[in-house]
Amino acid sequence: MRIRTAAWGAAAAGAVAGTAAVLCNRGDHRARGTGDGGAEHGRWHVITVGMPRSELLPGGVLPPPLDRLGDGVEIRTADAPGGRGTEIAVRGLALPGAGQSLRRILGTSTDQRIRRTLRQFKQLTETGEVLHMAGQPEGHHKPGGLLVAVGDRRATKEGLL
Amino acid sequence: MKALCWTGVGELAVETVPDPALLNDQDAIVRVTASSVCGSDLHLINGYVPAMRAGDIIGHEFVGEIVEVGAAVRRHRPGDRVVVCSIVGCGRCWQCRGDNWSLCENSNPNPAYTETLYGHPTAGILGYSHAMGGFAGSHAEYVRVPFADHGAFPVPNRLSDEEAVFASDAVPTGWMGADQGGVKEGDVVAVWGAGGVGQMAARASYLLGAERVAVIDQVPERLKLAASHCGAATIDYSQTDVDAALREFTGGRGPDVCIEAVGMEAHGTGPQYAYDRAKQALRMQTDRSVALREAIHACRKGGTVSILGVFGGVLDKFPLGAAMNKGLTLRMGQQHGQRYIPMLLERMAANEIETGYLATHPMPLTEGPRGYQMFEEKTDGCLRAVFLPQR
Ligand SMILES: NC(=O)c1ccc[n+]([C@@H]2O[C@H](COP(=O)([O-])OP(=O)(O)OC[C@H]3O[C@@H](n4cnc5c(N)ncnc54)[C@H](O)[C@@H]3O)[C@@H](O)[C@H]2O)c1
Ligand SMILES: [Zn+2]
Ligand SMILES: [Zn+2]
Repeated sequence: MRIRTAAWGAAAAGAVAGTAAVLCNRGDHRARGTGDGGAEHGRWHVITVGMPRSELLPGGVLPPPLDRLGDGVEIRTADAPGGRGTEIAVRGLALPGAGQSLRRILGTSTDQRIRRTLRQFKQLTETGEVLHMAGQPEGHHKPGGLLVAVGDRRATKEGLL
Repeated sequence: MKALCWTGVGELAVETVPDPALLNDQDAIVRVTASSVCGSDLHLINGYVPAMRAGDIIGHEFVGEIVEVGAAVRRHRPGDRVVVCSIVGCGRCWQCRGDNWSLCENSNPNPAYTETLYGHPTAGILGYSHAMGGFAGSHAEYVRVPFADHGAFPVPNRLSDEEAVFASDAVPTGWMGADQGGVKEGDVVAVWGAGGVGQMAARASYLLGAERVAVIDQVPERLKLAASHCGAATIDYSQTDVDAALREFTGGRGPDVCIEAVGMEAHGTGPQYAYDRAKQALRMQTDRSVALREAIHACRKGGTVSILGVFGGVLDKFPLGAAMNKGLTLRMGQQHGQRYIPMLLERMAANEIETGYLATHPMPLTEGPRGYQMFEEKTDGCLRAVFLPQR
């Protein structure tokens, strides 16, 4: 895992190019990294967590659950403007290929893991817990509800993040 | 326990389901003593909100008694009588801290639905489809309340359950309609929709200083209540040309603030309505908006259109030209209830806001399906059916 600190202000020209790359790389499988000496990787997934960087990553050490993302990702952080905390960007280092497509169907692709982890990290940091939903009361299901059940299972891992 | 479940488009059933349990340390379990229907439920029941699943417990406007709290709950203890905001807010994200609770960044456990549909995930709402989190709703004997310190509020003793229940939703929503519309001393306000939300918006407009308020609907009983309880002038859109009536009501200027409290299933009379209905039935547009178009057309130059009615997707023939060239301000949103509820409970206890008359049809929970039918068809003057799960 690589951790970098970026200043995404207008002054840092290289960093601005990096932001542009983030803005262009929408969609999981189309992303091909640029600007990193041709290294292959997925697109950046970015979330803002309402805590200053010094408290969030004391000594630059990754807190859980971010640390569980392992070696296959690159992480970049920046101060959010207006005192809004820390922007955390994560991308998978290996280019998403056929293996990733299959994993996406199974719900275990790198992008899905990154999204879920980022969302959980934000919830844990800001509220102290991740909302649990399993075990709620519900009435009888019907076959038509399957689509929603599948949707729910992926709802923490998909989206635009 | 008994709970009222959505079982398919246009179908509800009372089922026996397991009791809820604490799933998080910040949860509370509330024993529900009164739980009201809301116009939003009709949009869910009728299949206009995506991601409903057979077996989902609906209901999001309720009052009850706390029976159990998680280890991290600080402000409540078992025995407390509370009213709970429909919107789930974590209280600590940037949006909650800015008092924009329905935009909470941490309370929707299924963020991908609305993130994909709207660009960003919206807050969780109790009993309001899987897109809004998939939380079990309050038409049940017990309900789990996440982030209870932020969503539950103690009820003043002098309010009955059938009065307090509306502090969940109808009262803060109506208040927000007037507040975000910027209603001030001397304003003339028009409110489309005389349901619970429209009634409360009319009352809030007066409390914020409006000099004249008109309420538009076609249901005679509802219009009568808007006149007798809110002091509003009334316009029956099935009998009257609303635009002409509002010109007369406002000295030709148009209302300073137009509050839309109808939503995506608006009814109407003209050819536009037939067009909307056909397109919505074919799912070529998701929303119907006769009232919204009328509000934009009627609003005075430079005025504000405040949208409370819920819209889910896309709609046609949105009169952007009128809004643009008249320099209108459009404000909208799901209610930021937590911002207003403590203040509103005080006003309710002080009789400034009367709510008991909204509960036209209290009934046992087991009669839920009948209650919704009466509410939708507005039979017997039904303004809101309120279920009493403990009776
Ligand atoms: N923004 C929020 O947070 C929030 C909260 C609660 C409810 N809502 C929404 O507010 C709306 C009203 O809620 P409610 O509980 O009062 O619903 P309701 O169904 O009780 O009332 C809606 C009223 O609108 C009337 N109506 C229909 N077409 C009309 C038209 N063309 N002109 C004027 N009136 C018309 C109906 O006759 C009915 O009386 C719904 O869309 C609901 O989803 C929003
Ligand atoms: Zn509601
Ligand atoms: Zn929040």
